[in-house]
Amino acid sequence: MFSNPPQGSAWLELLGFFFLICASDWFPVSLPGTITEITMTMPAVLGLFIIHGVWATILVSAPAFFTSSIATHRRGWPIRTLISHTAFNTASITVCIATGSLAYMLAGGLPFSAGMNITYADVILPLMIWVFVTSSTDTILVATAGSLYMGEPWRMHAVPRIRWMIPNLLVTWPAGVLFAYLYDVYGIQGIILMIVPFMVGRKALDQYSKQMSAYRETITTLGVYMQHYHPYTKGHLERVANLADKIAKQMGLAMRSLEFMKDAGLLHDIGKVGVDEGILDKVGQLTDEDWAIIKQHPARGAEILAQMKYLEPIVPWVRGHHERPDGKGYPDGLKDGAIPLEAAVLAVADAFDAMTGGPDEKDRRVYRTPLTLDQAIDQLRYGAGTQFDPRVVKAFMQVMAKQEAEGGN
Amino acid sequence: MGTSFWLSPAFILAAAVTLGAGCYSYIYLPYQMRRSYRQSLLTLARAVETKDVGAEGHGERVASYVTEMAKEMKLPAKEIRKLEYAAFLQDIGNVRVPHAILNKRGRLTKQEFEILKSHTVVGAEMVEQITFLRDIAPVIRQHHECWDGSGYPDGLKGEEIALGARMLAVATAYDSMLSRRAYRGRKGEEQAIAELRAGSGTKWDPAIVEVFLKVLKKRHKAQGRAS
Repeated sequence: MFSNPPQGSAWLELLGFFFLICASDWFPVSLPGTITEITMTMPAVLGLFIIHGVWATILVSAPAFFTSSIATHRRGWPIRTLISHTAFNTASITVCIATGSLAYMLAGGLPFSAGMNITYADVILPLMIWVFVTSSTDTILVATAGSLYMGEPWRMHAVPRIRWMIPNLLVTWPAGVLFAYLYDVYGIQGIILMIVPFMVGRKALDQYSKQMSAYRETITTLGVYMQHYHPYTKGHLERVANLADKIAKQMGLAMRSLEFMKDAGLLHDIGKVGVDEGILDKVGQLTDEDWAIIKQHPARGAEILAQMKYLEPIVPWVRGHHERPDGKGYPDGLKDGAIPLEAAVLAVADAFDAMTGGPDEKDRRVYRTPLTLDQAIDQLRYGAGTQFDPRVVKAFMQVMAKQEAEGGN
Repeated sequence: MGTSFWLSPAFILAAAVTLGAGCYSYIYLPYQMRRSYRQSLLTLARAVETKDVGAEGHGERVASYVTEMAKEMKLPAKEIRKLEYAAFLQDIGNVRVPHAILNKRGRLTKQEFEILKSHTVVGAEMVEQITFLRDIAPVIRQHHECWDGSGYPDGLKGEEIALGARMLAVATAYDSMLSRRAYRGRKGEEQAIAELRAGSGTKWDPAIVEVFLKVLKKRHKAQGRAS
């Protein structure tokens, strides 16, 4: 459609692109603090499209994706998963390139072919359309496949990808054009010019995010140990973290929130560290002063966490985990929409676990006898809209129903 | 192509970008990361310090003494960093010591004192379970040991005690003498130095006490110049 089929030495060039695309796909860079990975794959594919047109692009990209899918499959994947994963990747890149190229034509982009004098100025906009349509198609396909495969809401898979489309577009489009340009002018050396800075950055970012998650884990673990002033706390923190994580997943919260939900659950009471446990564990009536001290803990926890760069996102969640939709919570007396949803998730998970306690006798709080599961659920339902966010309570019920269906308790 | 390629703007730009990205991610980012890691440890340590009224800032001050001592002793940078973290976290085991015992006025009963002593073991157990901090566990466990074997928890003697722990012991003692605690008043600098001298060889490693006094002298000189 766009160009003549490759001839002669062009085959060698295409082979070069094949390896290039494979290699870019093999070595993604994961951005610190996100689940997003960036690769040089799409710029390379776009560069190929600009130089050799649509048929050559599909001819090279589909086998390249096939190869890299097999090469990068996670160890321990069953063979069926591997097959469907590979087939999906190969098919989806073909579909993406095809739709992108169609849109490129409709947008007035001229076909590339040897001998036709096309300047970059002529195609710069249609190329942007190409990138946009290709990545939208990819987003739709991947999100649909992901949600069908995992049995999770579509939104949960699509939203984080859509959020990344704009920056992705802004990188892929100029990078692809630059790619083609450098190749045009300098040949293979031009490609090396693009790849080397990328590889250096990749290696460094990779190391950075590994180190960062190690540091983050260290800090969280230390924070958890520090809250073990009392035997019941450990189990409580872990149960709250797991439950909050499940509720957040059920609600389809943003990936970034999901990533930090467990940390938030583990550290929500960090503000109690250093507070007189004589007050925290007091049996009997608390005085107003005692209450004033106890009520400081969410704000204190937020202050502590605000000093830690790794845990920045959870600061408002921890601060808000004793707020109530009716405005009667503390420390800020926030209402409905002003309370971060993640804080509302923590509130429900925390309250539920505080009411039921763990399986062990020593997990129980000194100041009250534990409720049964049904009693606690009733309490949450009763408090929905006043004490708890009704959306969270609903998701909590769904999590509980799922657990029961799975035969758990 | 030939030489023109190596002088082309595209090549120069690519080389500059590579260099910039390299410096940013290999030098600046790790530096930033280590700073915020240090800050996080310090914050956690401060949260525990609030429990022991009068101890605020103790860990940070001790850390600055210990790093200066380590520099004086020409220890490697990695060791210095470890010592600093150990100084921040030395009393982290206090989270399990009841508020009432930490802040009790007057004598502790034998049982209460045992609980207070347990903060060394508890703190060491905590960091032992964390990969990045495992190295400093012995220092935290031994920071109340004495040169003559009269300390706790294990009654170690002389060089059986980790070097870091011997250093922490001197700096901690000095800083505590200068601050007011529930159980006693504040001492003057002169008196504190005299006490260190008196305890050198019994409570503390004499060589370390020497180093510490040198560090103090240097500080005085620097202050004298500043004022």
